[in-house]
Amino acid sequence: MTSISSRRLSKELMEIQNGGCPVGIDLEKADDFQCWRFSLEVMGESLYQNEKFTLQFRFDQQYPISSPAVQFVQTEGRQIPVHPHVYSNGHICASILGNEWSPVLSVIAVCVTLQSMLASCREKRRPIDNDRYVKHAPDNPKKTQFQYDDDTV
Amino acid sequence: MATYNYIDPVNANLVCCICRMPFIYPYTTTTCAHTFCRDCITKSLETTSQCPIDRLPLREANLQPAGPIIRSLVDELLVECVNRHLGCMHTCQRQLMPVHISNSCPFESIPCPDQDCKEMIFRKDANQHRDSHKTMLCNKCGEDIQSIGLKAHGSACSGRFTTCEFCESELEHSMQASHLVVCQEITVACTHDIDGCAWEGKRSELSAHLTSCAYHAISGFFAINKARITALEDENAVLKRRVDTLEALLRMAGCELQAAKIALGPWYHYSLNLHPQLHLPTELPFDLQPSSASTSQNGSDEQVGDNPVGPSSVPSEHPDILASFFPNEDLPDLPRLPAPPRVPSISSTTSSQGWESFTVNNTGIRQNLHNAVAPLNLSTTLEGSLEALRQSIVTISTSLDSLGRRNDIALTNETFRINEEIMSLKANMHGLRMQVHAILMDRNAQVIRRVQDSQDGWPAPQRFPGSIQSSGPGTKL
Ligand SMILES: [Zn+2]
Ligand SMILES: [Zn+2]
Ligand SMILES: [Zn+2]
Ligand SMILES: [Zn+2]
Ligand SMILES: [Zn+2]
Ligand SMILES: [Zn+2]
Ligand SMILES: [Zn+2]
Repeated sequence: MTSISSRRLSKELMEIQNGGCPVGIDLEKADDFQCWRFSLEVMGESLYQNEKFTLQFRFDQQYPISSPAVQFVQTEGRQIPVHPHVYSNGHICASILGNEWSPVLSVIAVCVTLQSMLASCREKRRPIDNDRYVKHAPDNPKKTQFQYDDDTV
Repeated sequence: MATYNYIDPVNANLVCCICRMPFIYPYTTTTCAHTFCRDCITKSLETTSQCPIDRLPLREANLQPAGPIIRSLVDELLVECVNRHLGCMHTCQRQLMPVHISNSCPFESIPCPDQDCKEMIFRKDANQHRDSHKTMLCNKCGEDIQSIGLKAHGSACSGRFTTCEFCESELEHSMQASHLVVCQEITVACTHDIDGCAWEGKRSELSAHLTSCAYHAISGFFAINKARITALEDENAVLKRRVDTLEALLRMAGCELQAAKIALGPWYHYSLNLHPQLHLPTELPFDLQPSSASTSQNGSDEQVGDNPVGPSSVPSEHPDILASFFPNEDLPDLPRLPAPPRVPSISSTTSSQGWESFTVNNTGIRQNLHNAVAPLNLSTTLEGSLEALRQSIVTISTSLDSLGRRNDIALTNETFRINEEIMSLKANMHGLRMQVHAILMDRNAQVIRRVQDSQDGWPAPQRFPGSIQSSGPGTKL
């Protein structure tokens, strides 16, 4: 029995394979319906010129009703982006990954949102509470209750 | 719900935003007119109470099935059979696919119709599979085996021939059972053992025994006897069934009778008298015999004559004093009220008697002031009594009504009279007060004159008898 989440993900995968990804985003790994990886590049003028990041999606059986667990990961030659909303362990404080997730959103929509989040950054720094958070952070960023206080970036 | 592969590209308007597939049971929100699959949106609402598309507040109550156009558009989409990966190339409208699966898809797995077989088989293989269940005989030992077990049986087969344990002749396995019926050496009982013959011996000796068997000689008698006993047993069974049925009926009738007794209450005995021609068996638990009933009938007749029924005593409530004010306008009407139905029995005379006594009592009202409620007349039928009671209620309500009106008028009159009296008393009082005033003025004038006359001395107490008396504690004015 194919679950609803794998039906939906196979549909999304087919769309990516047929239509391709938006500029700067590339599917790197989608061997199963549990974990996908994308490479992310910020195009045009930005603080992240010539940097490439790896974005990891983890899905549970409730996807797309429940949001995917999204975070940056460190892979060979790629670092976690330095950004006021990205912790050094790769966790991202973005409302669409938390309480503003909607089942009509998709993997590509999340990629594009995070791409523009990086593109609009004015100052490369870690979140204020980075050290404290990273020390106690759970493995799954979905288990964190973020405070989405800053709407500017 | 099964997930389908759609043959043609589907219009994007028919695709659910949550599962990205054409709607299944489409439901539309009443608040923002967005459409989703029923299952998708209900699952989403379990997590967040808002529309996934525009985030407006949304509850399950705001959902209703989508319009018939959307529903038929998605229902009529062509889909592949869900068993395509197994080999079924069938395609049809989505709404017809469940029927294809449950009735005709050759690649749908169905349980083997055989109760003992737990296998799941393709529908197309059902006939072939059923054949494999058909039993066949081993040609060596004659045992029942299934074709699927043939190979396994080959090693266990006990061989083609066997020896009869009684006559020691060699025979095939398959023949063993039929041989035992005819084997001459096997020990058998006499054919009349049911009737009591105790003989036992080899089958070959049976015919010799039969010539001397006493039971064989009277076998004809046994046959006739047996037939008669069978006939009697059959009859007995039929009778037993009928008795059972009748007993059940009797129990039912008893219950109904009990219920009727309770419902009838005190009228129960009377209804017996109503049908004196009904001759009941004496052992039945009825305490009234038809002969004694007639005497009690007469007794109750007399009683009715003495005690007027309800309606007759109603007018006695009118007070005597007011009688002259009001003519008896409604009393003459009462006898014209419909009399209780004339029941075709003796009771008709009693009931009419009761109503006559009622008219007569118009004159004798005063005597019955304290005997307002007459006892129920048990000698009439239940219907008659009910009708009479109804009439009594009608009469009482009429009387009560007129009584109320009379009381109203009397009260008004009385109030008027009392008011007049009070007015005249007030006038008298006023006159008295004026007189007292005049007297007091007169006396004051006299006292003043007397004081002026004796300026030099202390006023003696006895000179003011009026003032002392009016202020003293023992005043008697
Ligand atoms: Zn909506
Ligand atoms: Zn859906
Ligand atoms: Zn099929
Ligand atoms: Zn079977
Ligand atoms: Zn055999
Ligand atoms: Zn034998
Ligand atoms: Zn015998």
